[in-house]
Amino acid sequence: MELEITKKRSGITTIIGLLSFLVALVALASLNIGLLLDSDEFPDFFLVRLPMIGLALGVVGLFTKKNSRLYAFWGIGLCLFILLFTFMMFGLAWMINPKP
Amino acid sequence: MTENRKDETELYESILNESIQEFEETHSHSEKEQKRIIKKGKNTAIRTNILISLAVLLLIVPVLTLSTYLYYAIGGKANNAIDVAAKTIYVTEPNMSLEEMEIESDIGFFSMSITFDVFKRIGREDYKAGDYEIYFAFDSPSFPERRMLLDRPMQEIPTIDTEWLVHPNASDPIGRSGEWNILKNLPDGTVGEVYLSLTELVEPKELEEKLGKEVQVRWLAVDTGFEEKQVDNEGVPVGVIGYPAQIDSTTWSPFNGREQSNEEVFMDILNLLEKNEETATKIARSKSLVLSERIAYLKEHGTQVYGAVVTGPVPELRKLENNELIRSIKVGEVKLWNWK
Repeated sequence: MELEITKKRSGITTIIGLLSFLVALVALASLNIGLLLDSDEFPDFFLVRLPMIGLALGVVGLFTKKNSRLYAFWGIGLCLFILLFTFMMFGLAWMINPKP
Repeated sequence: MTENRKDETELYESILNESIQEFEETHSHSEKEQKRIIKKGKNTAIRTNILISLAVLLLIVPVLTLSTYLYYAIGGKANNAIDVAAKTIYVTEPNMSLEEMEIESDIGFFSMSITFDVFKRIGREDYKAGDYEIYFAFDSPSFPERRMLLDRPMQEIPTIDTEWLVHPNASDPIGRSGEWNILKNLPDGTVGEVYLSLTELVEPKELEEKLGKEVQVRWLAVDTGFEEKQVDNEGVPVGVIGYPAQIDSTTWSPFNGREQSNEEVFMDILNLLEKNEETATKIARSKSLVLSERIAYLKEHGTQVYGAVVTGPVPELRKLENNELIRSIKVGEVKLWNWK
C-alpha cells in the first residue's frame, strides 16, 4: 500500500511546494548579493514581491498529501524570514545613527 | 482432538498462502520497477539535501547581518559609540569641531566603522582639518585612523615636550621664542590660529576681556589638576582638555547654547566620557584621560583656564606679544584673508 502511493507522489501541489522553495532560494540569494554588494538601492522586487509570491505558492503547496509538504514548509519559512528581515532592517537601520 | 488441530493448521496455512499469493499479485514489482523506485527515492533525497543545504548556506549572511543590527540597535550601542567619539573630539582637540549630522556609520558583521570630517575655524571660516575613521569590533574601538590636512598638525601621541598649551607652573618647551618670529614674518593679509599659554590661571570671561575684540577666542584649555605635572599618577602624559569658547550655531552641535552654557555642556560631556572612558581614551590622542579625578578637581576648584586657542588677523595676533597674560605661543594654521 505504501509503495502504491509513491507512484502518485508528484502531484501538482508538490510541484507548487517545490516552486515555492525555489522562489524563496532565488530571493534569498538576491538578498545575499544585496548585502554583500553593500548597495543602498536594491530592487524591492527581490526583497518584497518575490517572497510574497513564494509565500502564496507555499500556502497552496500545503494542500497536498502529508508526506510531501517539506518543500512548502521550507518555502514559507524562508519567505517569511526574508519579509521579516526586510522590515526589521528598515526599523533597525533607522534606530542606528538617525539623521533627520 | 489431534485431527481437529491438524485441520485447523491446514486451514491456517492455506489462508496464509492465499494471502501471500494475493499480496504478491497486487504488489509485485519487476526488477526494473524496483530500480526505478530506488533511483527516484535517491534523487528526491539528493535534491532535498541540496536545496536545504543551499538554504542554510544562504541564511548565514542575512542572519549575521540581522544579529549585528540587533546588537547595535538594542540599548543604543552604536549611537552611544558615535556620541562618545564626537564629544571626545570636542573636548580633547583644541579648536576642532565636527558636523554631527555628517557622521557616517558602516555596519559589518559584529563590527562598525564610523567616519567623519573635522573642521578648524581659522579667521572667520571653517576649514576641513582632516577626517577620522574609527573601527569598532562589537563596542570596543581600535585606534582611530586620522588623515589630517594641516600644515602644522599636533603630535599623534602627545608627550610633555610636544604639548602646545602649557600650564603656568609647568616648564615651557624649548624653541617657543621663535613662534613670535613666525607671526612677524607672515603677511598682513592673512588670518591665523594661535595657541596661547598663559602666565596665570584666569576665568574664561576674564580671558576674553583681556584679549580684546580684535581676536576671537575659539577654545579654552581648562586646568584640571594634572596640567602642572603633565603626567598622571602612573607617569603617562596627560593631554589637554577644554571646551569651545564660542556658541556653535550648528543645530546638532552640543555647544549650541540653547539650554546650557558651553561650560555646563563641557561638564556633561566629561561625565559622559567618564562612563565610557575606555572608548574615549582610544579615540583621544592622549592615552590617559583620568576623568574621574579631573571631574572631582573641577567640581572643587571651578573652571579656570590656563591656555586658549585664538584666531584673528595676523597683525592683531602680533599685538598679543605685549599682553602680560601671555607666556608663550604656538602658531597653528594660517589662511588667506577672510576677516569680514
